[in-house]
Amino acid sequence: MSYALTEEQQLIQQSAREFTQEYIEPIASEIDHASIHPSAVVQLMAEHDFLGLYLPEEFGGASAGYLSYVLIIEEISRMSGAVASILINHASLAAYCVNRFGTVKQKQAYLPALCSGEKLGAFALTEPGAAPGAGMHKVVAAKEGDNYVLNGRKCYIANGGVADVYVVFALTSPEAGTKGMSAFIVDGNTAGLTVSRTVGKMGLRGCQSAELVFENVIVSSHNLLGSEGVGMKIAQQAQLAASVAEGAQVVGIAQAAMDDAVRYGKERIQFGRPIAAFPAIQTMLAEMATNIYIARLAVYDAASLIERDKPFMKEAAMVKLFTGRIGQSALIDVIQIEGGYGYSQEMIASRFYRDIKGAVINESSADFPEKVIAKDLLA
Amino acid sequence: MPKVLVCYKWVLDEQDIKINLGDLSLDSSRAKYKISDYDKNAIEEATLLIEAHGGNVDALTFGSDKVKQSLKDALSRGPGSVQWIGDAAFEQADAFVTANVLAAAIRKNGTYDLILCGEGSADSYNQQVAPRLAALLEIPAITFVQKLCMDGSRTIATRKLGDCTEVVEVEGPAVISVLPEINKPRIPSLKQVMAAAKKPSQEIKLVELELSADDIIPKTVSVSVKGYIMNRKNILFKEASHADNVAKLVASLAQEGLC
Repeated sequence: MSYALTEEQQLIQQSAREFTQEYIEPIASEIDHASIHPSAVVQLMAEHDFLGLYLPEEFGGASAGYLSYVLIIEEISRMSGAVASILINHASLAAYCVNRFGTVKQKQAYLPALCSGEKLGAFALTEPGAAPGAGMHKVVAAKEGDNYVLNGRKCYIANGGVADVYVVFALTSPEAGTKGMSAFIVDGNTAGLTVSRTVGKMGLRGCQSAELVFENVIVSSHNLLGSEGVGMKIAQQAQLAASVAEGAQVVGIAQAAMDDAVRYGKERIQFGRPIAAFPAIQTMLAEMATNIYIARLAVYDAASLIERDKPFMKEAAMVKLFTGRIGQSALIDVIQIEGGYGYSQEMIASRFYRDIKGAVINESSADFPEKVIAKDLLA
Repeated sequence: MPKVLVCYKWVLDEQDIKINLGDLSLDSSRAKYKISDYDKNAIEEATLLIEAHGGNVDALTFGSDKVKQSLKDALSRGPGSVQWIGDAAFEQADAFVTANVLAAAIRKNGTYDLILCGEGSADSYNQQVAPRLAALLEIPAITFVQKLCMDGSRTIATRKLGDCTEVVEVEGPAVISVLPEINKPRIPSLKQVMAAAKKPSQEIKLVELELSADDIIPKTVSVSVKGYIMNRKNILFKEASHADNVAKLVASLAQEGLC
């Protein structure tokens, strides 16, 4: 299979590169240092149609396809992993659930605002003691007449507190465990929904993570996504779609870090030669370049499966597994090549090092991808 | 409502061109193409004009057989349609040939209220096409334009001339060449990129322009193109006192005309 990008995809990539150089590169370090949600950049991304770029035109999107979307995530990630995370949580998780599992009415009610940037989305699955994909959830949604009443706590919710729309997972049949979980679209300003605190992070700073408290939050049954009990299925599919975008995020960060290491390796003179002339450095660079190349192909392939509405869960899990490994090892080597320079707080390599760890662990407990792959193989 | 034409050139991105250190030859084997930078300003200005006054913008380009790759890029930046002439004659074309080809294509299309060009191209930067085009079409040329307004059939342009500016006014059609400070070209949104695929593009064959053989023989021929490497002067000031070093540094910079 060939990945010669179409003319549109190349133009979208070029447009995203111009955008990120103009609007993200100058403030990427500041976003990291200040750890503040960059609302002006999000607004600019909305104006350039990034927020709804793969979503259908009829609901306000650009219908540009999931492969174009991951191309944009890759470009953004070369500058800022945090901004990429904001977009992934909005587009691959929140908007994905509404688009994939929502009724026409739900799509009409929420997608145009999510595409235009009037509203930002978030995905509220994780709870204290219940990692993604692991069960043990406690947030409940009790049916009362035409409404559900949500109670409980969610944690590590990316875009938490800055989002306007949350896709929230809650147990409608607590006795059935994860099989009793359902998904709801919840407006951020609903009474009883509060942010108890934001969480300081090692990386991806600027993509705000927050703890949410649901205290008798009344949600209309019209906002139930799919039917009762399919929440975990919705969550897993969305997480795997997001895994492909996170794969692009890892590829983007690793590529930018490698480019930085190549530049440094050519400039840094030791023992009378640029360090890039030493075989040990060349071996590290060659290995990371190869891994990034292969990871990128896997990301594009999985994205094209999503775009063509083909089964993608196994391939997405493979992307998560592989990019997780190669991303982290690339950044370890980049810091090794750059030494004290790369380890310095103000240098981009150290930011990339912290960011890539976040990109790797998002949407994935340690063995989640392996379980998905094995389940498919053994079915 | 004004009818505006914008001409652009599809050039190799100079950032991708490497200089071979041995013979200073240029390696463009990995270079991508782009719309010449100042032409992007011309496209943006034309688009701003019709956004303010209504009307429409067409784009026109003359290039090699690769110029077809530029159409969607150009259309995503504002023009409603594009015409292109892709021919091997472009490889050796100088400003004389380019202006002849563009003028013939414009004549074929009728008239425009304004024809916008970039001040110079990112590769050869001869700054000749716009004035030559105006001469061939027998309409005024206004060059070095840093500000442009339309008021009915009048066009008011501010020209940047060294350390002063000149405001000129012209009635009726004119060719305008713009400087980069005139605007900041927009970064096309994704919907604009997607919409570009649906806009019309039309190929014009060079033979259809009925130019004479002389019209497409370049007047100037490129004999060689070599990289230019500015060598460091490696001057070290080793006086005993810092004051003497600073004095020598300042004197040296003054000698170079840098302070």
